[in-house]
Amino acid sequence: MKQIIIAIFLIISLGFVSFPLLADDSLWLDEVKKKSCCTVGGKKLEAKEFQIKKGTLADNEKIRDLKDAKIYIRNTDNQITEQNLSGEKISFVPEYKGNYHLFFEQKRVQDEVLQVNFSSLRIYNKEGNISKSLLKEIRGKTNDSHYGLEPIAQWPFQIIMERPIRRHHINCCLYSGDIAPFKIYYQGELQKNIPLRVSTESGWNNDVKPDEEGVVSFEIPRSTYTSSENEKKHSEKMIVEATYEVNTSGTYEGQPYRSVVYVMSMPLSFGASPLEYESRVLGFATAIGVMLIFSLGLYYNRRRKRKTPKEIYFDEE
Amino acid sequence: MTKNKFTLRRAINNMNLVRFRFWFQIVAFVLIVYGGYVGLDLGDKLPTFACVYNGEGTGGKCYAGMLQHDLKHPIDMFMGYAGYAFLISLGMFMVWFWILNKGWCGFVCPLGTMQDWLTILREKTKIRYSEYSWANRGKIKSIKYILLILLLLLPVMIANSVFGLPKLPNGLSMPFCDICPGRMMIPAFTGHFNQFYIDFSSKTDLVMTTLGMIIVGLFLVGSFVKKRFFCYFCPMAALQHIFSKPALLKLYKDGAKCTKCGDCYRACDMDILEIADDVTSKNLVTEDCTLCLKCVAACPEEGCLEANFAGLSIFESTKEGFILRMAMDQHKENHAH
Repeated sequence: MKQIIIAIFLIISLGFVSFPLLADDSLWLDEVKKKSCCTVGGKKLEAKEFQIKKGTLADNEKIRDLKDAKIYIRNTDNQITEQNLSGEKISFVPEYKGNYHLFFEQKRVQDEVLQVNFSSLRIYNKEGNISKSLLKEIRGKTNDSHYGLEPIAQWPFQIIMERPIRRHHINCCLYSGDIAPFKIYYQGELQKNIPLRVSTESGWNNDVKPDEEGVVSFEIPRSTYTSSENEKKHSEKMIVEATYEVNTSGTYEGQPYRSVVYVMSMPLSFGASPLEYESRVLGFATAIGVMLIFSLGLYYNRRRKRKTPKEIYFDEE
Repeated sequence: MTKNKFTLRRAINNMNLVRFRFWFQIVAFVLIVYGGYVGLDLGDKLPTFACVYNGEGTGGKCYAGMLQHDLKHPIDMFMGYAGYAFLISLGMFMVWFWILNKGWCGFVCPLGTMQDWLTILREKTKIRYSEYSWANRGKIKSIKYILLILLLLLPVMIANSVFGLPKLPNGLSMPFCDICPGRMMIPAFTGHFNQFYIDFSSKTDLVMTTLGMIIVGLFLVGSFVKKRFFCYFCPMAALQHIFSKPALLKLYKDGAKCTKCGDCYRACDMDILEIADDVTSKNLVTEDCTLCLKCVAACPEEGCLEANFAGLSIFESTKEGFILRMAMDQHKENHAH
């Protein structure tokens, strides 16, 4: 009897653990594809297309009606433009080279709760017009300038990604094993008690609490569930999400509500840790082996040919 | 005023160049390898091995990395904004380079500095130095041009099908960085040994990273027994030589004053024969010259060799300077005994 109870308890526990921690109603921005769209100033530009997905990374559906949603696009000059949405696709042409941030927003009242969904995504446009980034091109890249940016004024609730602590590679991308820090803001104030839900494509889910300074950080996990035999340098998606409920009443588009629930998601991607396909021991062994062989070869050569270096004489005409 | 000016010039001409260069190199090394920790960022077009793999410590980045990156674009994009970006980068590289000319190699390059430190270590241990065979000197000199051509060509062939050949794998996108000893050695000075590895993710990566490990082993032993061992093969030196003519810093020689005593040749880390043998050319910054100015310090003839910056003589050979430096060397030797 006792074993049956333990077995039932274990099954229930496993069920909870394996259940995705992302909320069912979480929305997130997903880049679809890029295609040639138009020509500006004689140069071909690429339109970037996005869609909104609902659910988890493993089990999601595309939102087909975005009529009550809008998107803010922050360009390379930190200027924000607003775009009302309709249909199912979000499309824009990033003309200039540099970082663009997309901020998707959707509000609706359901069961007297104002549900506010936010999702932000950073894209880097590498083939655009460089006239706005001329100074940067001349001077050279600055490290990680897109991290730790100020929250945008249009949003009361926001997750901001700080500069990650990279353990494996150069400053370009995230890799498993890196530490990703985040801060959560409400009305511009740093919140120190809102946990971050993290979910990776391979099925790692976790709730991460902030530290005393309000920084929520976690080590990006190794992809244990994905076979990396064929593609060792594979990349994986990850979503970080935070929810904040405020007890306030009001009306939105004529519909009354008694509280507001803010949900923000931030889709990211990371690569497999180089430790999965690199051998440092063999690297050191090769270098030391070469040093030994080269040194012994030199020693042998010098013993065999004992001679002083030649003097060079110049004619004195 | 005239007397003061004369005194300053005399002080410079009489200085202990070896000591000045030693400390200058240390300061440059600290700025380039650790400058990033205090917010120094000189950009990514430096004409010297300031390694991009040095992570947060780097105070600037090497143009060789940027050049390979800039060339990895399909031709239609290269003819657009990517081409402009390439031209801007190249222009900025030339601006940096024209200030110091090959002095970047002799006074700033962290990899060159490491080689000089290994030479000092060898001298302290009293191990005899080695030389490259004169019979193979021409072949050795050509290696850097072959490396430069590969550095330029391979990234292009990743994004484009050249002469109908298939595109190269992406693992060759930074071919020179893969085999550059600076990638392993420079981050090691900030405590990061993570560039010592062999990558098993693809055949290309396996070959390139193994080559890198072999070259770093050769670099460490080679630089110990041969002064500036790696500089003979350096594609950055080849690239610099192409743009060297209009640079501000020059090494001038007055052939009429040269007695061909050979002191300058014997002082030269790069065994450049022309410095002693050529009495007809004025500008003696050759492809292998690192503008270390040791030849100027070793020359006993008044005004025969000079370092000239934008038409202004900044350091020239003098009899007095030569005698003083000889005395300094003698004193050092006596002190050592």
